Amino acid sequence: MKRIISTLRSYFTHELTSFFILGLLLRIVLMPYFIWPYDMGAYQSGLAYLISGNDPYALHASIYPPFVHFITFPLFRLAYQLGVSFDFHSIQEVLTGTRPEAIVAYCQVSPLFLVLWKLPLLCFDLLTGILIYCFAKTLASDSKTPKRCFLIWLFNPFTLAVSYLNGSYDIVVAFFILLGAFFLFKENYFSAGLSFGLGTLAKTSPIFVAIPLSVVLLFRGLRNSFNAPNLRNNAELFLKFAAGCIVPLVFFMPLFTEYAGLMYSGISKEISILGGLNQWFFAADPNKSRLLNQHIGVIQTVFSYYPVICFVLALFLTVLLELKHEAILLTTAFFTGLIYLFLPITLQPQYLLWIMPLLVVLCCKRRSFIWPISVFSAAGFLYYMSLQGPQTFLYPLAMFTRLYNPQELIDNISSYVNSQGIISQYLRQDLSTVFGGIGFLGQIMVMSLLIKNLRMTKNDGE
Amino acid sequence: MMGNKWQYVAAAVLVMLLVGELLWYMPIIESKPGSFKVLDVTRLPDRAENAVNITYELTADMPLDSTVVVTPLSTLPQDLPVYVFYDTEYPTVATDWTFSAMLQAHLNGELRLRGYSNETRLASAAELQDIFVNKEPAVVIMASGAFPSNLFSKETNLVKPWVDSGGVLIWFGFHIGFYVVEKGMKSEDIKDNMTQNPRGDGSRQLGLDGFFEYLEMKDNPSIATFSSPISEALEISYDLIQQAPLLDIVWAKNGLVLGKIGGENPLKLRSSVSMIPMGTGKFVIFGFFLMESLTLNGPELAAWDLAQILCSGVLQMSPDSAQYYQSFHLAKEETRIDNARLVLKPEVVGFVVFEYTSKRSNGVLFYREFIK
Repeated sequence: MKRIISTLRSYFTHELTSFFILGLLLRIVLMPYFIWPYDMGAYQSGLAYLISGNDPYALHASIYPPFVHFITFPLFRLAYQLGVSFDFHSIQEVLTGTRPEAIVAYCQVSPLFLVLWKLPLLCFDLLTGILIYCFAKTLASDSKTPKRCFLIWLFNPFTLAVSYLNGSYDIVVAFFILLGAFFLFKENYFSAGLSFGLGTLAKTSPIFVAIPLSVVLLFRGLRNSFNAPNLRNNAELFLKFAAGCIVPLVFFMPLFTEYAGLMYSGISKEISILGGLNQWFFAADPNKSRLLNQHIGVIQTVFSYYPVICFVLALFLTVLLELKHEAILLTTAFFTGLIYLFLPITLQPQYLLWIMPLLVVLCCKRRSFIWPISVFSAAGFLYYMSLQGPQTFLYPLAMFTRLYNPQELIDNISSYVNSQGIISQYLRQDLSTVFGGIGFLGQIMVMSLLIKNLRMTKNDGE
Repeated sequence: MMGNKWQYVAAAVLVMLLVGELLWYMPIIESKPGSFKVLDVTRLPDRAENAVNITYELTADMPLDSTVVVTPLSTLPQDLPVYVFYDTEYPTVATDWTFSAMLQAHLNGELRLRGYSNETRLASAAELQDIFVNKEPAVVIMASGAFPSNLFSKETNLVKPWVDSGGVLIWFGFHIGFYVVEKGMKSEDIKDNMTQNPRGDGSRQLGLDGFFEYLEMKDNPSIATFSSPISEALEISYDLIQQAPLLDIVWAKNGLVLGKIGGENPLKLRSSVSMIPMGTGKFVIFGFFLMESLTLNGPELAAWDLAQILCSGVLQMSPDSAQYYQSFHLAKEETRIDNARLVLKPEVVGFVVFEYTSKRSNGVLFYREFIK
């Protein structure tokens, strides 16, 4: 009993407790009344099909990976058993009268649905904050930095917007990539692989990080002493990492294969996945961005050099790996292909959320990383707000509270969407170009800072 | 030590996922939204008019918003192969190929859920040419805004003979036949007044003379606000009528109003989805383009509308008969038994009993049966 009281006391007197409670309350307030209205249709349909005993991919409406379905399925099944109903609510104001066609959401789910949907996101979000704190504690030389890192995460407008305004589950991916990095730091290779594998069930980003990491594990240190024991040791670590990675994928193989097939056959036609474009910069999709972004032609011209950019980045990475000359060509080609395929799938700002926790942790070692965090956070948040205006997230608030009403909401969104621009025809085109551009600048900053810091570390070592 | 604690987190998440997966796969706690059964079909010949009484039972294991539709048919229903025109070597007019691809993907899922037995796939202009030349019975959907010149132009018309022979052409976009595009052209080069465009003559060549009235394009297309009986029965939500055919002409030519009704001029009302019979085939005309994904009139909802039209038997509906439909809200573990009574016209060859759950329903349940 004494032990329990002492443990509880230690939790309540912990330096993070008051901030943790404040952050939790803020999140609970945001959960029921905000959502990106268009994705909600897909979330609801996927779940309805799954709960009705159908394959979630029976209908193309559900384009979300198995992780999301199996983590939410027991929760919603239980809610149904308890008699809770989650009807879709039509927005009458949209179904009648004139409306700005391309921006109108036609129905919404109830606040209770949103709370249940965001409950797993809340768990992963808070776990990420705690993991950042733990990771920072092992890295930082002073006692204040871990707390500072935790607060940067907990009250970051971009991370709050992704999980609680947008309702996107990218936080799951961010958590598992950070956890994988943490285990790699601790030299626990199986758990690191397992984390990346679990993350891959939620989105493809972790596998794109895991592949170069596994190559590094396999070839590291071989330039200086290429011998059989070193190679055997590397191979052992690589196998541990790969085995961990494969475990979760094997367990969910049938649905995962189906999901991958759906992504390949269906979605590739919907998005320019092979176009070699950083889609964040292009306002989600070159096709749709013609409606959104008049500068698309100029940007596309610049990015006609995209394969060259990929090659240069790959060359940098290969040099950093310090490989033998014979391996350079092969590895450069490998990384070029990987970067070429990976960057274009960054369709929306939330897809880059996984970089944020890593940057926060990197802040412990180099203060310079605070700049890309700030740039990313501001650009990501403002980009969200500029797409259709901040009011787009308020549909549930307007439908289920008296604080706002749907007609006013639609009028205000319409008014924003039709606001005249300074450079382009519409204001939102200008804003999304500027904030998308700043976000892209953030990516370049991260890349250059990483290279700079790795070089500094190497020179320190020498 | 700290690293060990986090190992438990990864393991716990894996276990939670496995529990979720087991719950879904395990047959003892199988998720079933409910069931639908036709209990009895009785002919009633002793009355003044021939009629049929269909008794059905609907049971909900989850809350259901369900509708039962019974359609009397004048021809036997057939699940024809469905082709969506998709050929990036040709340009689109005022739309994008993305929408056609999305429509096909969603339609494929929607039809499978309703038990449609034939395939749904994308088809190039060359493949469609083969289908049209061989007069293959099929449903062809064109949502790119223009005909490719190998199928239809001022000189070529493979479309009408194919429709006459039993094909079903479903059209989204500008007035059908207005634009014709050549292989290799660019979307931005297409203009109204290009000599290759048949313009108003296009609809005449297709046998649809007088169906359309040319209206100025607007940023926000016209919307139909009144439901027709069929749109209500099948929950058809597509409501754009900017380029839709005139209602009076559709009716005059024995067509059906499948969508919603509206228009600026009360004497020239239009329907958002119209079926126009032609020979032994049909045109199904949507009143405008497909709009953005996940919005009203986007590919997801248009796919729902198309699946409802193709699976309910409405395209084979006897012109003088009326559909039966009844909507129910069933709470969990509730059962309803009800009767559908329909008048039998001499040309009626059977009925399609079609049960579907609304888009707002918690449980998802579809049922389809042809009764002779």
